[in-house]
Order: sequence, then structure tokens, then C-alpha cells
Amino acid sequence: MELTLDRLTREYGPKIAVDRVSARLTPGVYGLLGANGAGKTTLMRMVCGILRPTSGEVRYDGRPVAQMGDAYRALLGYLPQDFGYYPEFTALDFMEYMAALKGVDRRLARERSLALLEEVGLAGEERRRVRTFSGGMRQRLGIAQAVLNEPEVLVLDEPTAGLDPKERVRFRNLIASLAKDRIVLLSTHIVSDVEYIADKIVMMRAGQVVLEGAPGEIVSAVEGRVWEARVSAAEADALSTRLTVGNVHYLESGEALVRIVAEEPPVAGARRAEPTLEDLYLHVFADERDDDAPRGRVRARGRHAKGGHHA
Amino acid sequence: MLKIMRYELKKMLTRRVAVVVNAGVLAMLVAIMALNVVQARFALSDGSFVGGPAAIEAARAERDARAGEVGVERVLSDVRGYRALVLSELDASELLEMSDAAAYSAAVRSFTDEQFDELCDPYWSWLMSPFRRSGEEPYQTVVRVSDEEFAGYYAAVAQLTQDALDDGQGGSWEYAASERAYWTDMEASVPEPVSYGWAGAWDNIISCAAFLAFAMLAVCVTVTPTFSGEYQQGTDAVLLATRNGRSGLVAAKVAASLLYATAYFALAAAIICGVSVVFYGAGGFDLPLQALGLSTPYPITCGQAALLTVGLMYACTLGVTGISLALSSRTRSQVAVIVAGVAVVFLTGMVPSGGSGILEHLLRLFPMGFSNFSTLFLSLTSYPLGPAVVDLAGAVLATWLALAAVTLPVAVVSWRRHQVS
Repeated sequence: MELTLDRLTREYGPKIAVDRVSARLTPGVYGLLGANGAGKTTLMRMVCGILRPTSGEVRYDGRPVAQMGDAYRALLGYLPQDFGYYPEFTALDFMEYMAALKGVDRRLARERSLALLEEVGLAGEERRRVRTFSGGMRQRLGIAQAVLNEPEVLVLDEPTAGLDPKERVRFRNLIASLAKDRIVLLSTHIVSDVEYIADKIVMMRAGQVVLEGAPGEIVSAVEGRVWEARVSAAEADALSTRLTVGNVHYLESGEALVRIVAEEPPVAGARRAEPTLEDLYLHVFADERDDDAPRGRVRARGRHAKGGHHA
Repeated sequence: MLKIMRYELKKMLTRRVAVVVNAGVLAMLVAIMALNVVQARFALSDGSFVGGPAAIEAARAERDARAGEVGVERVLSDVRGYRALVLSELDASELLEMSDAAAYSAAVRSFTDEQFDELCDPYWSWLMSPFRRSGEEPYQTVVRVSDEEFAGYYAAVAQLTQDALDDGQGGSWEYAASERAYWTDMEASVPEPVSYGWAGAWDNIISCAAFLAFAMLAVCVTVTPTFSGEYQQGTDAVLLATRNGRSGLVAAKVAASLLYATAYFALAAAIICGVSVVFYGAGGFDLPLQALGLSTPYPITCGQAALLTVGLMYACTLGVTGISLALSSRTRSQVAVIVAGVAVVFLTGMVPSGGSGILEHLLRLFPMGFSNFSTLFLSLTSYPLGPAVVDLAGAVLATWLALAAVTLPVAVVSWRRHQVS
């Protein structure tokens, strides 16, 4: 079982949302990390065949998925970002509807639907209308429908959005159990969602893969660049404005414990700390601005932009 | 696929807007048909009026009193009796010089209530129609036209078609030779003698068929979210990533839409036809259409004409369904689709032709343009296609079924090619 992404590119006019991303995915969990606008959702849509690439292709076991058509979608499970729903459907209606669309055997559909609803913590809610669900409940319903057809390729776009910590842990365990014989591609902002279960982390920025590897391996990229220090509260605030501060813990004494990602010790007395995946994330996306960050790259006129990382 | 269809129907019919519109239109049709019955009025010979079902019953009795075949012998016999009645109180030469209003006043003054009632029986307007001039009461016509002319009654009826062809829809349309031959041949195929009688239900159905346009609008509103609703809600991403998302699902959506449109239209038509038959009676189904309008050249019965009218509105409904689905598959905006539906169904009925025969012919293809007795069966609207001629009914049927045949595949292809971005 192998899913190949071969120089996948998606352009919207002059903007490049995904830029020549290549990867070879075998059974396991792949955590796709990146800020808003990095191209994760666009990439996932191309993997699911609901968005045609401008160039490049996705292949499953060597066959282009565009040619496989329904046969590829039969082994796909997808939970999109901003998962839509039908307000007047009950949870069971929705699951059975999706089961019919996924070609799940009619006799098994109800049984499997009820079992999955229980697994995601919606036991007893099957007859309730989805419009009465909380955001977290809807998200769990979305997860349940994604695995309804026991997919070989499972694509989850921000699956833990709206889930509380206990639900996120439950979800992680669920994914870990499913990943044994499946390719699971999971995108998130929340590093802890993938830190423990991902076999491989793929970091995207501006449409390109900038870093990839097993969590333990890639974290070494910030080895020696993570510092902890005890400073005054005022100094902590000042550091936050000019450096990449991962965590600030204000103490009763008026001081603060800060965790900083920087090339050099940020203050006197700063100690080196063991890097985590979150530190790596902050380091890679340190210069990303907030709301006005450009989404995707813009193609330079008259020539192809070069560079970018190929997996 | 049946299971998917079931859920598609559930999606369609549980949306709040759809529930309100569907129920509202049906309630409106019931109210309109109820008013149609309640507001019926019939003037009795003593000058008083009866209303509602009693009025309908009285009108039926009036027609039934003269029911039967109207051969030339009966024409002559009836005409002589009528003329004798008129001339018993009015002078022929004075009557012929009066305007219709003056003649009416003279008749009111000169006759008893019972005699005046007989004078104004609608049978006489119907019988005199081949000879009647504009601005002339039937009792003036019977005095003006001789028995020799009445003896050529059915030649005069045939002449009505020729006169209409010569008139060219008020000068706006020049009939081609093929069209003249078409209408002349059609009129010649009308069996003689025609029959007179009561066909109130079928006449009422033809008159009220235009209200089925509201059912079309309800169908448009209900099926519009079939595709655009998925785009708006963001469910398209999940659906298109499933095995049947680009194949079985779209077939189920189209099938569910057509099934709903047919069922809803049937319900609306059942209200119109049901109320008409219950209160006006089913009698007259086999009466020739000429009983409702002597100048119509169609060799069909009143019942067939009513069914044809309803059938044409159903064809329009299928076309509107197709248009709504095609537009829905191309846009997220449900409002835009509904506005287009309103324009196609209703606004086309408000566009003035400005005397242009071509524009008039085009506008008559739309529901509000053709759905009345006069336009459908009296106007002699035809469309020459080289040597072949298609009448209005044929053109409406072909146009709307063709629209459905073209737009439904557009919807299918648009959904199949839809990209979520």
C-alpha cells in the first residue's frame, strides 16, 4: 500500500497554494504541520481527489487516482476542515447516508454506524438532530463517518478542532489504533495532537514542504536553540515582542519563567533546554505574521520560482 | 441508490424554507379554489342572485336545459324561436340601428323577467358567434342574419378560422401557407354537428391551470439547494470524496428532484382538478371543445383539453426543475437560482409584446403566456418549421421537455466536475 504525491502543484492565478510537493506515504501516521495558509488543506483536497492539481499527480500503488475514480474513493476516508452537516438529520441518519455513499453493505451499515458512534463518544445521541450537537460532538461525528468504510487512506484536516483535551486524547488513541494498516494523513495546528502518534512529521510553509522526518529526528534541527530563563515580568513582556517565546509562566514573586527559541542565549543566565516539536514549530514559523501573512507564494513573473524542499 | 434518494428527499423536504413554501402554496391553492366556488354567482330571473355551489348548480341546469347535438335543423328551429321572441316586443329595423347598450336597455324595458332571462341565455351568444359582429347583442344578430345564412351554419363556423387567419393575430403575424393549411385541415377534422352542454369542471380546470405556476415556483425553491446547498454548507467536500459521490449520488439527486417535482405537481393539480370536479361535476368530459368556444379548431373534447392544459404545465414543471438543478450546480447562491425561477415562471408573463408577433410567439411558450383557454385553443398560435407546422401545445411540450433534457445533464456534469477550493 503506497500513496505517492508526485510534484503536486496548485495555483490560483499568480498565487501558488501548493508548490511541487512530493512524498511517498506508506502505512503509518503522517502529521502535516503548518500555519494558516501553508497549503495543508489544499494538499489534502488534492490527495482526496476533490481538487484537481494544476500539475503533478497522486498515485495509489502506482495507479493515478484520477483514473481510478470511484475505486480510489472507495478506500478513502476524509474529514475536511469546517465539516459541514445537515441540520435536520439525526446522527444515525447522517452515518447511514454516508454509509450508502461509501458503498458500505446495507446490512452492516446500521451496525457499524452505531458501533462507531459509540466509539467516538456519541452513544445514546444517535437519534438526536445534528443541529442540536455542540461543535465537539459534530467533530466526533465527522471522525466517525471518516472511518465508516474502513478506509485504507484516511485524511483528516484539523480533526481535533473543537474537541476538549479529554476528547483529543481519545481521538489520538483512536487514530493510533487505526493507523496500523492504514495511511493516515493528519493536519493540525496543535503540535501535541501529532507529537506522540505521528510516525513522520511534514512541515509546510507557503505551499512547500520545509521539513520532514520522524518527530525525534526533526526536533534535532533546534537542538541547542531552546532556552529557559527566569526574568522579571516586565522583561518577559519585552522578550515576547522581539524573540520567539514558547511559554511564559508568571510566578507569584513577580518573576516569570520563559522558554525561548533563539540562536544565542537571550538573557544572562539562560539555560539550554531539551527541544520539543513545539519549539521546532515556533522556530520554523517564527517570522510568520498573524492575520496579514500572505497565503501561499506568489509566482514571480516570467520565470518559475526555484527552491523549496522535495520529500 | 434508493437509500441515497431517500436521504436526498429528506434533505430537500426538511429545510425550513421548503416546508413553508410547499405548505404555503398548497394552502393558497386550496384557498383560491375555495374562493372560486364561493364567489360563483348566478342571476335568477327575478333579478336576485345566488352564490357558491347553488350558483354553479343553477348554471349547470341552464346549460343542461339546452344540451345536445346542434345540427343545422336544430339551429334553424332554435333561431326561429329566438327571433320570434325578440320581435314580439322589439322592432327589427330599430333594433338593428341601436348600439348594443341601447339594445340592452330596450330589452330590459320591453320584456318580462322570464323573457329577458331567456333572451340573455348564454346559449344564444354561443349559437350566434359565427355571425356576430363586434358590439352586437345576440338578439340583434338573430334579427340581422337570415335563415338562408343560418342554413350554412357550419360553413360559417369554418369561416371563423379563415377570418382569424386573415386577421393574423391583430396584424402582428403573417401566417405562412403551411400554417393556413394546417389550421384549415384541423378545423375540417372537427366532427359535425357539435354538441352543447355543461362542461363546467373542465372549463374551470383550464381557467385555473395558471395557478399551477405557483407549484412550479415551490418546486424551484425546494430543489434549488440540491447542489448549491452542498456548496454553501461545505458538505460537498465530504460527499465528493466518497465512492458514489460523483456517480450514484448525482443520479439520486436528480431522480429525487424529479420524483418530488412530479409528486408535488400532482398534489397541486389534484387540488385544482379535485375541487373543480367535486363542485362543478364531472359531466361534459366527452363534450367537444367547441361547446366552450365555437371558433376553436381543435377536434378534442373538453376533458381532453383540460388534461392537455395540465399536462403542458407539468412539462413546464419538469423544465423548471431542470433549470433550477442546472443553475444550482453552477453557483453557491440559492437566491440567484430562485430569482431566475421567478423570472422564467412569472416575469415572462409581464413582458409586453409591443405588437411584435415574434415576441408574442416566444412569450406564449412560457407558463403565464399559454395557460388560458383563449391563448391555447382560440389564438391559432403556430410555429412553422420549414414545411412542418407545430401548434402552441406542441411547441410548449417540445420546448420544456427539451429544456429538461438539456439542463439535467448539465447539472450532472457540473457536479461531477465540481472542485472544492
